[in-house]
Amino acid sequence: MNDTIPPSRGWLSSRLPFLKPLCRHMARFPMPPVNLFWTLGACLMVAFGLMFVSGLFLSLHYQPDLSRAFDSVEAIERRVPSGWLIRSIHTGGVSMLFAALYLHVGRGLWYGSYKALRELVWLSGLVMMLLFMTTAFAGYVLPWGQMSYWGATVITHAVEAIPGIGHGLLVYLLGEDTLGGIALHRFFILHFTLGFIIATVIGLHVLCLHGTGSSNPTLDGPRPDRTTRPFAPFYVVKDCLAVCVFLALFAILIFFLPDLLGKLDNVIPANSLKTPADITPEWYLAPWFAMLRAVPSRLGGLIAASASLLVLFALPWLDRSPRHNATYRPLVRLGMGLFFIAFITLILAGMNGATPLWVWLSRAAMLVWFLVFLVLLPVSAYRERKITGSSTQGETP
Amino acid sequence: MRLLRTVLTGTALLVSVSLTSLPALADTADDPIVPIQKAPPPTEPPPPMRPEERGLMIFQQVCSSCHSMERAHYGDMIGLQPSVTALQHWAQQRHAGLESPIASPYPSVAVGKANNGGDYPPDLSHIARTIRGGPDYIRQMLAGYRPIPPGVTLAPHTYYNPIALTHHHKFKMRPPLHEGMITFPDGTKATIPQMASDVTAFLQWADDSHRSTRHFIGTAVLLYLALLGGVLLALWQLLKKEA
Ligand code: HEM
Repeated sequence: MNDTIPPSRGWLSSRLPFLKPLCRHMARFPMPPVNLFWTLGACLMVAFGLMFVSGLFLSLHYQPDLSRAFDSVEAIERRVPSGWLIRSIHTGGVSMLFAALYLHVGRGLWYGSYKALRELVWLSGLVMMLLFMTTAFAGYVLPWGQMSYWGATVITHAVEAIPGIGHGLLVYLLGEDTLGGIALHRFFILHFTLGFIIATVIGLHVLCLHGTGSSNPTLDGPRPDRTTRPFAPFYVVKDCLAVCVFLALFAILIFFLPDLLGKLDNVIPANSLKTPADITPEWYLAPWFAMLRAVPSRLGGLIAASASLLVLFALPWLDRSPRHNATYRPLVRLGMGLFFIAFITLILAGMNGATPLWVWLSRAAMLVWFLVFLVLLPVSAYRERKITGSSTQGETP
Repeated sequence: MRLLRTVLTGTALLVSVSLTSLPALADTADDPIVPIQKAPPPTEPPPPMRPEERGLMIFQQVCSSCHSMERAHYGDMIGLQPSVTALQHWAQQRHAGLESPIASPYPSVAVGKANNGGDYPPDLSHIARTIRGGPDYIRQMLAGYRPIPPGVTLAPHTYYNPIALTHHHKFKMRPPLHEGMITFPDGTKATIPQMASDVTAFLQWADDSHRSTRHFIGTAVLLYLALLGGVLLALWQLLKKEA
């Protein structure tokens, strides 16, 4: 009876025998010849890491209390050592994170990353996107400035549009009739907890990806390239390089252009008696705010905004063409191009006042959004499947 | 042991040397003593002040008699006035401590309004960012009071200022700045445009006091990233060729 381990295996790997194979798997993970858009995932991980750590430090000093929230944020800015730096990383990081997130999702749409066998990667990503939107919204309420308060008021009252239970549900969620101390405390707990939940989902997302591997953008093209490279060192260096550029943009934003994104009204404490001149959301939530406004009925707006997100969940089944890359799918290329324009239009519409021009532009953009995903994609997928003569799902590149 | 001995002998040597040199000094005691002429204190120019430092003086002596700066504490001004005692003195005059917010001198909004022709003096914590026109507006407005043009009648406690945003030039803030009202230690002449620009610099500082540090750190971070990026780029090119 001798179960001592030969000394060639380390202390850790004899206790965690899967550690070495895991590292080997990560290092040798075969990567198809992907382009620079495939570095966005790494940028997102770094952005999330920065948000997580800076958030933990902020929560040491933030006080989720109606009478002290605003002052505690000012204290972080003025009196906590390096507090201003930590806070600027956290507030600027949101925009960097969402910019990378939307580009990452855009990459997935353009290159058909959502298709079989990567559905789980896509779905876990979408869940994460919803979690991020919720987290960002909850976080924006915390400083309890004018825009925090009024933005939260407008959005939480969208819940009231649900027929029958709307008002009751709103009061239940807020914990009292109006947005106040109880709700603020809940927003803080929600914001804090979601950070940890998202960290877990990121793990799942990468796990799912490692089940199938990254997709190969060259396969639909004229010169398919099936060669792969191990992840280390080439893609490690490439990802690091992209992260470096990402961090430089991040630094320019927070150190030199902090006013670019900051809302003036949020340095004024919340005042429930004084509505700000115009209530506008942050740019990354603007598209859905524009949708809420573009539909005359409140319930209709709520349904449209939710449907616009839900339709993304159905994409793997709406588009079952064997082709992935929109570059080589003329109709899809047009559709995705239109969708990107529509998305930017909705961002702008949400950030501008509800003038008739912007309302109509939002309506047109929403129409494009749904037409592209519900009509154009299925139709072109149907045609492509006929052309390629395969009734089964296409091979996975 | 060896070390100890060396140290001891060293000390002994030093002491004896200094003792023997003492009598040498005492020898000169017979000579008449020429009193040392003290040089007149050199007329060093007073240290230059940053505009926001002069601005703090103006805020303390002028603005804060009507306006609050609630978001800042008295102690926060340590960045512009390094003397804690001076800050403490200022705070005590206003029945506050270093850790209290710079509150409005008025006991209530109603009193504040009554004292200012019906308009409450706004809080100045973030005014440089939140007011329309920003610092440029503040600077010009403070120096923008003019004699009443013919044909214009003003209610009591109202002042003519064509730059001011409220009430069509009929402004409720009495002209706060007067030529020479403050003596700056650095010798800067307290003209109205000078004070307007200094106090504006101060309000910008109060709104965003980490601006210069931020730019410094930002530059350092970018330089670092440029260096790192260069190395990574070279490495990437190398790996590209290899495969
Ligand atoms: C913070 C959030 C996210 C993180 C940290 C993250 C991370 C990653 C990483 C590291 C990769 C592999 C590298 C790459 O392809 O760029 C990846 C791939 C992928 N992600 Fe995400 N992701 C996030 C959000 C999302 C979202 C919101 C979606 C979709 C709605 C999504 C969908 C995908 C897909 C489909 C792939 C596979 C791409 C392919 O190989 O074709 N991800 N993600």
